[in-house]
This record gives sequence, structure tokens and C-alpha cells, in this order.
Amino acid sequence: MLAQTLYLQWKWNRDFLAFFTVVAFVAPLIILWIALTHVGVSSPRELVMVGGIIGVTAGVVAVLAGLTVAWHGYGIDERAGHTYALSLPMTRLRALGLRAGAAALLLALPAMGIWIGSMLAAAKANLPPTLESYAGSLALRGLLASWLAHACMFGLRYAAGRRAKAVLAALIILGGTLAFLSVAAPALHDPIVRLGRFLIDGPGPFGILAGRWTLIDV
Amino acid sequence: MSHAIAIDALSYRAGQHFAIRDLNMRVPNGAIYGFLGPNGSGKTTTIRLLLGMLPPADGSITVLGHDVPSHAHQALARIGYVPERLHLYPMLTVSETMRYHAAFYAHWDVAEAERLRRAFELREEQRVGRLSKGEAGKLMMLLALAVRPELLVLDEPTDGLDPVVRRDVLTALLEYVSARGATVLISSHLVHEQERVCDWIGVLDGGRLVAEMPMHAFRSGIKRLRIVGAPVSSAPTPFGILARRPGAGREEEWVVRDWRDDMASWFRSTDAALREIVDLDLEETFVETLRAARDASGRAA
Amino acid sequence: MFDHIDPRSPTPIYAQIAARVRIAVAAGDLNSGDPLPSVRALAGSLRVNPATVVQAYRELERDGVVEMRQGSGTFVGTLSSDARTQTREHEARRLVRELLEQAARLSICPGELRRAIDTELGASRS
Repeated sequence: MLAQTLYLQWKWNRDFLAFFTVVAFVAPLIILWIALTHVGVSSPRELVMVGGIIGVTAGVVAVLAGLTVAWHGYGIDERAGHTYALSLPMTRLRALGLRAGAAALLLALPAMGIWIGSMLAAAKANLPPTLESYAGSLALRGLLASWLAHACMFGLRYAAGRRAKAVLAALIILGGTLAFLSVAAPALHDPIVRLGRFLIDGPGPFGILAGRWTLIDV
Repeated sequence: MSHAIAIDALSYRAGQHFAIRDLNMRVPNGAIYGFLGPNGSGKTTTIRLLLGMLPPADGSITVLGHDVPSHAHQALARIGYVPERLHLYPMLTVSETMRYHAAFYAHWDVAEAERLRRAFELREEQRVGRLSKGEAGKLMMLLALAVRPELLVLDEPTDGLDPVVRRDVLTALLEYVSARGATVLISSHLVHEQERVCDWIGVLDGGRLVAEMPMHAFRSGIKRLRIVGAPVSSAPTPFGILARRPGAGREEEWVVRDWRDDMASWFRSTDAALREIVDLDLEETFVETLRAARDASGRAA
Repeated sequence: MFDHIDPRSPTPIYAQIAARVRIAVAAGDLNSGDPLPSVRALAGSLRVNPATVVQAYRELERDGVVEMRQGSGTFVGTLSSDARTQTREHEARRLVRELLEQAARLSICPGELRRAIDTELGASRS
């Protein structure tokens, strides 16, 4: 069952997966190339900064990949009114588990892209002995961030269905408003920042997004 | 378990309005049960309810001995379902769809599936999204039959199909039923097709079952009589009168139920003369049954 | 042989199937030992309920026209020419009975009916 679900999800999502994998692979190399040839980066401190840019980019790609696969993947069943999935002999829990599990396995592809691209970039950078590259942990972090983004969007889609778009729009508006207020209204700045910190630093999966995303570090 | 499907006091609400009201239905094992009803009577909704796709508001449903929807997945493992509209994944090919479907059913017969594919002339590499209506109908019947089900639930399986495809699909269905003795529930408004194939009939109207009986009883029991000199008074009759209508000239047309051939002699005891006994085909019987049911509920209201 | 089975006719489908077999046997189209189509094949090709085919075959077996052999199928039984003649007589009387019933309903008297039969028989001979 998992093999067939995997094949189905792959066939449906392969264009997006291919896109994100290629971008994940190419981004570290391009960023490094621009830094070395056009900007003329050479000192260890500058290299660490470049490593940070690569890291954050990898994080963004990973999260976007997770969100896209979750949003698009729901579309297969939505069109047919979910009749096919509901008529197959398995519990709802199992059906959802297969979907989510297959997506999680497929999201390994962009993560691999991050890993290999970062490894090649780090090799090309000729790092001085004071610096280390963390391609493996960056890729792993990306994978976990993908899974997190996928799980959130998956939950939203399967819980809210057609109304997911409305819920999503509401969340974006809410987030944007809070961000705006934290800058525009100084009195609200601290509480809002504390709320944000709590979500990320507090116990929970969102912690994966916090901290430093970097390829190169001391 | 003498009934493949047993439904008791089922109610279902769509919004404010009750789509299904106090429905009682029994599909005997091994029967080919025809589900007839006008559009909007709730046939597809009933089918979705008994497959566990919709939650009932009240009542109980038992399919192949399993309570639905709580154990629907167990019943579904032994059910072959053909929905009203194509519900398969459009980007998969025919053979990919067959492989996908097979993964969920323990009793999938690979050889039989392949035989049907060839018999239906479906090409393996064709995408489901590009199939014609007839090919899609054939593929859905193939999938339903290849899982070797004990119960087949078919929602308008031949609707919109050309006569050649319809014949192929029905032949495959009936050959399977002969070999396996499976129970079949067919919902269709193609009354003439139901007539040849079904041995039980259930008539749904306004979310209620207004008639449920073996086909031969349904058809033979209801007749249209041409009467001359009909008695004006409502004297007791050995048959039930569903309707009395004026005919040509001095004639009257009576639609009666529970008719038996020996009842023709009753007319000799009256001043009326029985000119003709008209056998109604299934479509006419269906229309008269609906009319009578609606009149009865109108009078009761 | 089995074309034009009419589900809308007042005669039940199983009776129509059985009648076709009887007529084929009486006319000599089916001989002793000839196989009839399997239930599965006939139900499929006629697109009727298999139980209907079984009912037809059972009735024929009861009347001694066919034998249902477990596992091998259904075969025409051994019939003498007397039995064939008997079947034809049986069918002819059935047709006449139907005709008489209809005529009675239309208030056609036996004399009128006999004259009509003679006219039609004469017309068909020429």
C-alpha cells in the first residue's frame, strides 16, 4: 500500500519535487560562486556570513517544498470529492497516515539536494582550518523543517478542506498585522516579540526553525 | 447473515432538510436488487451512506454483517463499488490504476483483471484522464469485479454509455454473478435494463422507500384495467385500487394492485364489463407506484 | 434461438427461455445429447439474471426435456418422436388458449373467430 501511495504521490508531485530538488542543489553553489568571484569574499568572517546566507536559503527552500507538496498533494482527491479514497477498505487514520508518510519520504529528495549541493560548495570554498562545513546537519535540519511545514499545511488542508484557503488567508493577515503592529506600536512590540519567541523557543516542533541556519561555521 | 444489506430507520440530513427519512431497506443475499427512483430521491446519498462515506443522523446500517460506518473498512474489503462519476486518478495509466487498486484488496485476482482488460479492449498505457466515457465505465467495472467481491454496489453503472459498451459491461457483471453468486445493488433510472436483470426492486421517493419486493410480484401484481359501466360506489374489491381515471367514451381506466388472474370473474358479479387487462411494464408500474405513494402521503398530510 | 427475449412481455423471462428450448427441440434444431449454453454464458449473453436461466433450465428438467449434469452442464434429454409431437401439440394449444382469451375480451364469438382463422390460413397457403 505504501509503495503504491508513494508512486501515486510521486507521479502527482514530481514536477514540484524536481524543481525544489534542483534549486536546493544549485543554490549553495551559485551563492558561493557569486560571493567568491563577484564580491571577492576571502576572510573567514566573510565566509561564515556566506555560509549563513546559504543556510537560510536552504531553510526557505525546504519549508516551501513542504508547504507546496502538502497543498498540491491534497488536490488529487479534492477533484473527485474524495470518493475514491473513502471507498478503499482502510480506516481514515490509515489513509491519512499513508498520505503523510509517502510525502515525508518524498521530501527527502530536496533535502538530498541541499546535502550534495552544500557539500560541493563547501569543497569549492577551500575553507581555512578554523572553519568547518556542516552540510549533513544543514540537510537534516532542512528535512525536519520540510516535514514540519508539510505537517502544518497537511493538517490545515485535511481539516478545513475547501475552506483551507480562507483559513490560510486569515492566518497570513493575522501574522502580517502582528508584525506590522510590533513595529508601528511600540507599546505592543515586547508582548508580540515574546509571543513569537514562545512559539519558537518554547517546547515544540517549531524550534527547528529557530537558531542559526548556516553551512559554514567555526 | 441472511441479508447482504440491512438498513433500519435511517435518517440523513443535508443542511436543514432531511434527504433521507426513516428508511428501511433489506437486500437479500444473492439478490440482484434494483434501486429505482426519480432524480433527487436520494439514491446516491443512500449508497454513500451504506458505504460509510457519510455519517447518518439516525438509524442503523449493517453491510455484510458489519456495522457501518464504524466498521465500514471491513465491509469495503468485500465490496466492489462503481460510482456515478469517474473518481479515479487522472494522471495514472490504466495499468498503474489496476496496480494501485490491487494493493488495497487481499482478494484481487490478477489473471481475471488482465482477462477483463483485454476483453474490454483497454490499453495499458492509456491515461485515465484521457479515457472516453465508455472506457472509463469499463475500467470502473473491471476494478469492481477484479477484487472478487461478495457485494457489488453500482451507481448508474451504464448511464451515458453507448449500447455496445453497455452490453459488454452487463455481460461481464452477470457472468461474475453467475460464477460467484454475489449480491448486487444497482441504482439506475434505465428501467428497461433493471427489468431484465433484477429479481428484487426497491422504489425510493423523497428519501423514503415506497415499495420493496421481488420483481415478479412488483410487475405482475399491478395491472391497468379497461372497464365499461364501472360501479360508482366504492364497493369492496378483491384487489387494491391505486387509481381510477376516465377513459375513452364510457370507459374508465383502473390501476389496480394485488391482481390475480381469477379476479376477472369478480366483474361478472357486477354490472361492469372488463374489456381489457393491460400488463404494465416496469416503467409504467414504477410511475403508477410513485403516483399512488404521493397521493397517499398527500391525503395523509 | 434466444434472440428477442422480451422482458416487457407478460410471460416471465424464464418461461420465454424454456419455451424457446421446447420449440427448438420440437422442430429438431436441438437433438438428444446436445448441450445447452451454460447458465453463466446465457445470463451474460442475454443480459438477464442468472437465477432466471437456472429457473428455466430447472423447469425444463422437471418436464423431462433436459438433464442438468453436475459439473458438465445442461444437455437435451433423450426424446422420442412421440414426445416431440406432444410438445408441438402442447405449444399449439397454448397459442389457441391465448387467442381465445383475447377474443373473449373483445366480444368476438367463436364463429367469427373460426371464419377469421380459415381466411388467414387460406391466405397464407396461397
